[in-house]
Amino acid sequence: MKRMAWLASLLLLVAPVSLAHAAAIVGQRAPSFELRDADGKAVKLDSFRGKYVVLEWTNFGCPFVGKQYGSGNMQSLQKKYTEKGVVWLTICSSAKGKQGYLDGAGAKASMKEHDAAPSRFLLDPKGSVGKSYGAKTTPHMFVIDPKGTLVYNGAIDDKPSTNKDDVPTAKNYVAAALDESMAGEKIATSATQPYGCSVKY
Amino acid sequence: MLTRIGALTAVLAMLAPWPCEAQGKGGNVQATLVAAGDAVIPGERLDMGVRLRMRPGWHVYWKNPGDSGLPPTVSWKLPQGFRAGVIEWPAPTRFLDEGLVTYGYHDEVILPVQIQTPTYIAGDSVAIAARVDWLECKDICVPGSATLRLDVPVRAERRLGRASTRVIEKARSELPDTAGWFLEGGAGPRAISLWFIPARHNKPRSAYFYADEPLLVDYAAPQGFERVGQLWRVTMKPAPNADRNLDRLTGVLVINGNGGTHSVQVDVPLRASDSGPAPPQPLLPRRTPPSAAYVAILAGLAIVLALSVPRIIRRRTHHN
Repeated sequence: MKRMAWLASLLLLVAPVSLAHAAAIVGQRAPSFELRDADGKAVKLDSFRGKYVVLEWTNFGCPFVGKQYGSGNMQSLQKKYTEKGVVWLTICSSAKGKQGYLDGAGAKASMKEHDAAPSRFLLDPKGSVGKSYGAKTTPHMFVIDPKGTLVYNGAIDDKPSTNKDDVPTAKNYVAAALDESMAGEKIATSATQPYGCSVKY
Repeated sequence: MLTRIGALTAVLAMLAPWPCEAQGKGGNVQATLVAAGDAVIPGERLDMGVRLRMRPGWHVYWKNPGDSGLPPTVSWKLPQGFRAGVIEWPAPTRFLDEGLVTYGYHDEVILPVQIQTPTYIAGDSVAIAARVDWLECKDICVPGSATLRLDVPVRAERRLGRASTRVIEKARSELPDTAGWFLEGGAGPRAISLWFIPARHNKPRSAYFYADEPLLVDYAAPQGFERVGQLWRVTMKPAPNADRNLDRLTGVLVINGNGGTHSVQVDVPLRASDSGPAPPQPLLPRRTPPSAAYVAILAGLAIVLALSVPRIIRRRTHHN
C-alpha cells in the first residue's frame, strides 16, 4: 500500500514534466492547432497555409512583455508585417487564476489598452497549444513559412532584459527571419533560447 | 579620566563606523555590497560580493537561467584605476514550475567579484558603487534593482576579522572547483554525456549538470546518472533545437554524496559519441598542472633537504 502511494506520488511528480516535452522543431511542420479568438471564433492554423504566420506568446502582467509593448515595438512589428500579408497570432496560455489570464472580453480590453494590432488574439487557457509548441516564456516567438514549416523558434531579440531602452539597439530575430525568408534568403538565426517570464500554465 | 577615555572611544566609534555594507532594495530581494576586510590597500586585490537576500519562495537566476528568467547584472562605478572582474557564479539549484525548469538561487546568494586596485590611491577613502539589476520570481516575475555604495577607507593594512570577510571567504570557498576532476564529454543525437571522477573523496549519490550554453540541453528533461566502471556519467537530453555544431560542453556539475555537495566548472570538448562505451578509464583522476604555490613549496623543500642532508651526513661521521 505504501509502495503504491509512493509510486503514485512519483507519477504525479513526473506527469507535469512530460507535458512540456513537446516542442516545435525548426525545419519541421509546425504543429496544427485550433483555438478560439477573443471574439469566440474558431481559428485554425492550417487555414493560413500560403501565408507567413507569426506566433507570439503573451502575458500582459509580465515585465518582458511590458518592455516590448511599453516601447511600442511589438505593436509596430504587428502593423508592419500584417500590412505585408503576414498573419500575426498573439496567444495567451495563462491558466485561469494565474497571471495574465484573459477571457474574450479581457483580451479585447487589453488589446485596446495596448493598441495591439495582431491579426487575431487567441485564448489557450488550458495551455495545450503552448505545450505542443514548447512555449516557455512571454514573449516566445515562432515564425511559420507559407508551406507550414517552422522557420524560427526563440527569443524576440538578442538583448535579454526588461529595459525598454534596449529595444532600439537590439537585433530583432522575428523581423530578421521574416525579412530574410521573404527575400528568399537563408535565415541566419533560426533558433535561439527565448527569454522572459515563464508561461503561466 | 577613565570615563573621558570611554566617552572618546564612543565618539570615535560613531565617527568611524567602517560602513562596509550598503543597502538597496527590490520588492522581495534585498541587495547589499559586501567587502572582505575593513580597508582598501593600494595595489592589492579587493574581494567584494553582491549579497542578494530573498523573501521565502522568491528566487533569482544563474548566468544561464534555463527555460525562463534573467541573470542578475552588476555595473560598477569605481574610482580611477580600479577594475572590477566578472561575477564568479556560485553553483545554482533548480526550480521546477509547471514543466519548466529554471536555474538560480533562493533565500540568499553572494555573487563574488574581485576588484583590482591601483598602486596609488588619492584620498583616505574610496567610494565603491554598483548598480545591480535582477529579476525576482515566485509565481510572477518582477524586475528589481538597487544602486549600492560602499565607502571604504584606504589604509596600508587591512583587518580581516570581520563578519563581512567571513561571508566573502565562505562564498569563495563554495565556488565550483576549477581543477582536479576527471571530466570528459560526448555528444550524440539522443544524449549528451559527461563522464567524471570527483577530485575529492566523495562517492556521488546524485549528480546534475547545469549547462551554461543556451540551446544545448533540454532543461526540463530528467538527467540520467549512473556508474560506469571507475567513472560516473550524467546524461542529458539535447535541446529540441540544439545547435548541432556545438563542440564544447560548458557549465557546472554538482554532485551530492557522502562527502556533501561539491561542484566543478566544466569546459570540455564534445566528442562524437552517444551511449557508446565510456572513454578509456584513467587509473587516476587527470592531473592538472601544479600551481605556482605548489612549485614554490616543492622548491623550498628541495632547498631545505639539500642544505640539511650534508649536515646529517657530517654529524654521522662525527659519531663514527
